[in-house]
Formats: sequence, structure tokens, C-alpha cells
Amino acid sequence: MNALLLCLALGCSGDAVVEGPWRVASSSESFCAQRIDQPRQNPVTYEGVLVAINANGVLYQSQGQWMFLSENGVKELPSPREEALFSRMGSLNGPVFHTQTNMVFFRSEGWVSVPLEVFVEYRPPGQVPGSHYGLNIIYPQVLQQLNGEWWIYQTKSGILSSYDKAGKLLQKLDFGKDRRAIRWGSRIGWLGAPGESKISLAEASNPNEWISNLTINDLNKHSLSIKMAQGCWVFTFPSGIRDGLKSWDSGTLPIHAHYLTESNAALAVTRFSLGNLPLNFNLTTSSSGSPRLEVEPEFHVVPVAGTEAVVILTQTKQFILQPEKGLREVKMNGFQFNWAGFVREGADLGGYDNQGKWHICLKDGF
Amino acid sequence: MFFLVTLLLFNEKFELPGKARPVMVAGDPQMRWILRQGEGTMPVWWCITGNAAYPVELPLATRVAAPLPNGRGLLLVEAETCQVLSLDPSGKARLGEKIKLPVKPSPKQPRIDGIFKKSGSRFFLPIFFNNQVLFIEWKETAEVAALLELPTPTSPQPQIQGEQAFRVPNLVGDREGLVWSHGGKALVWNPTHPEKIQVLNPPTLKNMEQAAAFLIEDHLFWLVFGGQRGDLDSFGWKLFDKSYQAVYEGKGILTRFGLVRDQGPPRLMIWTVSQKIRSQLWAAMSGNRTFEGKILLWSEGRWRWHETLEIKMGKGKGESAFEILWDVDVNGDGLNDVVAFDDKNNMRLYPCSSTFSHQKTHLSLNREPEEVLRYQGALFLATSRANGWIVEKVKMP
Repeated sequence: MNALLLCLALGCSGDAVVEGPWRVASSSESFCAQRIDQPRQNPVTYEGVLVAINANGVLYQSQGQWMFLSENGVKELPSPREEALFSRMGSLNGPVFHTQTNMVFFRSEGWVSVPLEVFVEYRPPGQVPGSHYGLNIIYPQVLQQLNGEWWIYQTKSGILSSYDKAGKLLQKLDFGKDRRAIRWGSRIGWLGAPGESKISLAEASNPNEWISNLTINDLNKHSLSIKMAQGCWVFTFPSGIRDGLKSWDSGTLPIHAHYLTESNAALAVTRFSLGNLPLNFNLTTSSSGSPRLEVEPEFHVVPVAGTEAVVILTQTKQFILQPEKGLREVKMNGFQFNWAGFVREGADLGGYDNQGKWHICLKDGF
Repeated sequence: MFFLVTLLLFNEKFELPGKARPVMVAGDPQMRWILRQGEGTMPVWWCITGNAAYPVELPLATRVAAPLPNGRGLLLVEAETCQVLSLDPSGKARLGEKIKLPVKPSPKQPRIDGIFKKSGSRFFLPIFFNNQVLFIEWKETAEVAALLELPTPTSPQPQIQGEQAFRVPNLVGDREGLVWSHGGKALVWNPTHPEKIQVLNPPTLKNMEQAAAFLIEDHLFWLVFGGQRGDLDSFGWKLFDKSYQAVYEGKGILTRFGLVRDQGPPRLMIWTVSQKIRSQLWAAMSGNRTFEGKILLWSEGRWRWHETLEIKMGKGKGESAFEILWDVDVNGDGLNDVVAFDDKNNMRLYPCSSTFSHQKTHLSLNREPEEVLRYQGALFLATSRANGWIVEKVKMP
């Protein structure tokens, strides 16, 4: 009964951050970048301070000069007027960064600034040793459409705005708070809408009208999702009280993976059982002063660059999950793998350890 | 035990126009600095001087703003410089001369408003820049006390797209130095040896245990709390000394803890709720919880049991949160008191007398405070009005 009686918060949330093709390690004055899809290439050190890590490149400043590192090499850029905040914007392409109030992106004519509705939470210094204070900044979700349009959705206010590629406001509508958007080609996917356990698709031009939706057991807007080039992975687990109690005793929960695809505007799903995976428990104090039990997954889901497959890492076991072949255990010889770095090389699966060294994990079987 | 109903006295009161909540207070009655936050917006500093309240506009490049220990302005820290902002009598902000800081460039972070930390009779502002920490000392002017490399960078970790936390450690300490947590370890900086940071490893932890470190007279202690997953009965706390010997322990689920440093001997406050299943069931059904405060007293170079305070709290209404404070002195005797707010608009006061016996006093408030603020032992209660906020400093008769 134990877990029930504490305030039980069972959930895992968010999009896995896909870093794009670059694995980046930084110090204060330089950073080291490595193309993860070119495993035989050594990491290259660049002098400069990181500004943003995006889906297809790294934006940085070297002795005042703005640079963008992409697969085409390093390009010099003019200095923007705004002051950038360091950010990871793993789902956005091209030179783009955040300021405290705007999103600034580069077009051939120069930097274009689009206002972002940013939600700030401030926690003042407290009286408890070992605690932290500061800000939590909730940026809106930014979806970059194939035609160059930007869709910006702030879950806190429910406002969805769209901008054309020159940064001109196209439309702004009150869409409802607390939703989760997924970029889906020229469309928008919504997790947990129009109801819990639903996933739906809408045309970008008419985001309020579902053109297709699908029911997935245990899905909600907090479910872990990873959008791949073609389909989308969504991970679910039972979140009832009884399941919570079982997981408190065993430290694991049965996890399901769902691979979603779309054809002719209709969603289809393939379901995989991943068996029981480990969870991490934290006992914290809620704002009312009562103990609160928080549960997070203690496994990582890492996309394999350039494929539709993902790797699932736990402390002791590793698996590869492919839409067409399902789940297989992979032996990784005890290396601690970097969370960003798996890639297919011919018929092999390889990954990078924490020092950026390349290892083959699966030979001739991908 | 005494039971009294007392009316609260307020000896300082100021009004703030607008809806933004007051979240931090500093300065003195001649010049008060209040940090206010509107719904989801960046916090804004206000200055109260005379009967006027002025919002203060800061340069956009400001990374840290902190009220000066003398209350006469704000110290503003930018990427490579710092300067003092003061107000002229008409409320207009004036910026002082820029002082160059010896830091290396680092990724920009938004402004995090902080507060000077007292160590002995000296005041330090810690500033975290990626993998460096800078201590600025205030002695009528800002002076760089130390710039040190951190063992690992503090740059923002990969986050869910759309949400980023910019947080810095809360430093605790006193004459002996300042301690904070970093990557599961304790870091100690002592102003008398400013050139180095000491890195200390915590004791071995069970899977749901956490550890926090603090210093008393050059003795480092670890408070370890939590237990084994799947077994609530294993939950409790242990106090370890520097050689990882347990010197005190207790049962319960820890909800709050902290050190009291005032004119009296140092005290350690450990607040727990029962770990027993029956108590959890009762709390879940009735909404009533009993918080137990264990107080340890530091004397002659070791910790001694002092006493146990029990505070029974009823079901909260709406969003009102249960608060226990131990860093305020409301009766002005130089010793910090324990103050708790309940759901019945009562402030309960457990004053520490010189013998540390306690009495419980119900202080009826006219209105439930919406924000409870503290600064250097003073307690302020804030309540909202139709067109603003009233902030009042509490004084016991």
C-alpha cells in the first residue's frame, strides 16, 4: 500500500532531445564536435563559445564572430542585435537561437526575430542546505514546417501562432492550454488530444481540426515520444494505482513502444512489448509540505542516426528496437555509451562511448 | 506549555501597486528592495524609499542582480563586469563605474537574482559561470575575492525541448566557510584560504537516500535521509561526521531541515513525518499530519539532543501551503524562533528562550498571508489587495 498513501506522481515526460548529427563536448573557450554519422572521422576542436546546438548544426561565437558549423563546413554569419541564451534546439534546422524573449533565425538577408511567449518561474533562495534557486524557463514548442513556416505553441497560455519564413505573423489562435505538439512533415501531431490516450493529426493550416486520430492504451500528453524521419515512437506504461504499487515493490514497470506511421492522412500503429524496465524513485516534499513520491524511467531511448531504429539503454542491458524487426538485445561490452551517439554503418550498429571513441555493438545484423 | 492568543504587531508596512507577487525582500527600513514576479514573467526589483515605491529597470545584459549588504543599491553583474545601481531621491536609477571581472567568456544565461551570503562579518556574492565560480566581496565597494574552477561544468543539461532550468546552488555556512552541493559532492570555500575549493564525497547511500553537507566550527557534517525503495519502514535520517561515523539518527520521512545560526548556539532542525503506514493512511484519509521537529544543539564541540517539537496541521484549503520557518527572530531577543502557519489563519510561534524551552502562541492574522518573506532574521507577510500588495514586517509584543 505504501506508495498509494504518499502523494504518488507517476510519469515520464517529454521529447527525447535528438541532437542531430553532432556530438558536442564543450569547455568555456572551445568545444569539440564530431559527426556521429561519420564514425571513422575524428572529433574536431573549434575555438569559441557555444550558442545553440540544433538539428543540423552548431551555432557558436569565436572572438566575437558568429559561426555556424554544419555538414557543409563552417559559415561566418553577421552578428545579430539580440543577445543569445545558450540552448539546445534539437528539432530545429539552421542557424537559430533563443533570447530571453525571442527566437532569432538566419535567412540569406540576415537575422529575423520572432517574439516567443516565454513563461518564467522563479524560485527564491531558501533555507535548506543542498538546495538550488533560480529560474525555470518554459519556452513554447516551436515546429518548423517543410515550407519554412514556423508554428509556435505555448502550453502555458494555449496560444498557437504561425509565422512565415520572413518572420511575418500569419495567424494567432487560442488553442487551449497544456497540449503536446509533434512536428509531422507538413502536419501537426497532438499527443493526448482530442482526449487522453489519443494521438491525432491535423493540417498545419487548420490545427484545430483532427484529420485522423488513434487510441493507444496508457498514452497521455506526457508520454515519451521521439519523432524519426518517417514515423514516430511513443512509449507508454500503465499508470494506475495498482501498477504504481507493484512498481514501488519491484522498481520496474512493463513498458510498451508504439511505432506510428501515416499514409494518406491516416495513422497506423505497430505495438511492441519491451518487458519490464527499471524506474527511479525520488521522495521529495510537495508544496503543501507532505512527502511526494516521484517516479522517472531509469532507461534511455536513443535514436540511431539516419534510421527509424532506437536503442534502449538500462544500467545492465541494451536493446535495439526496429519497426520491421522488433526488439533484440545487443551486447555492448560494458561501455558507458554517450546518450547521443548511435549510428548504422552498413550492416553494423555502432555507438560512441563517453570519451567519443567509436565501438561496433552489433555486427552484420542491423 | 502556554497557550496565548495574541494580536500581531507590524512595525513596518509598505504598499506595492500592481499584481506582481513579492518573492524576496532585502535592505533596511530606509531603503527596502523587493523582488516581484508577475504571472510567468521575469522578476523585477522594486525599491521602497520614503513612502514611494519604484520599479527598477536593469540593463538587459545583467546576469545577476543582488541587493548590497548595506541596502543602498543593487550590485549588477554582467558577462565580464560588475557595477552598482543606486537610486537618486526622485527614484531615477544611476549606474556606477564598471569594474572588470577576471572571468572567461561563457554561454549566456538569463538573469538570476541572488543575495549576498554572510561569512563571519564579511559578505560574499557567489556567481556561477559555466565551469567557474566567482566570489565578490562587498566592503563599501565590490572586490573580487576569488575566481575558482569548478570540478565539472554547470552548463545547462540536455532538457526536454521547450523547458530549461537555470539554477544555482544555495550556499550555506558561516564563519567557517560556505558549502554547496555539486554533482552529488560537497564543495567548501573558506574566505581565509580563498584560492582553493575543497571537494568532499558523501557517505555511501542506499537507493533512495540523499545527502547534504554543512559546516560547524570547521567540522563538516553530512545529513543523509531517505531509505530503501519498496520499504517505507527503512526511511529515516542519519547525521555523519567527517570520518563518516553516524553521530545521531532518527526515523521518519524527512520533509525539511536546516541550520539555525544566530546569537545562540548553533541548532540543527530536522522535520519529519512518520514513515509508518498507519500514519500515512490517517494523513491520506483525514488530511491531518503531524510534523515532528527534532532539534540538536551544538555545544562543546559536539551535537546534543535538545528537544522535539510536534506540530499538528489540519487539511490545507485551496493552495495554501504549510510552512515552517526557523530563520526568523520575531520577538527580537536575538534568537531565531520557530514559526509555523496553519490553515486557520494562525501563525504559531515557538520562541526560543535562552534555555530553549518553548511556548506555543496562536497569533490570529486578519488575513492568511499569501507570501512569507524573510531577510536577516526579520519576517514579512504579504497579502494582495484589489490593486496591489501590502507587505508588513512582523514584530511580537
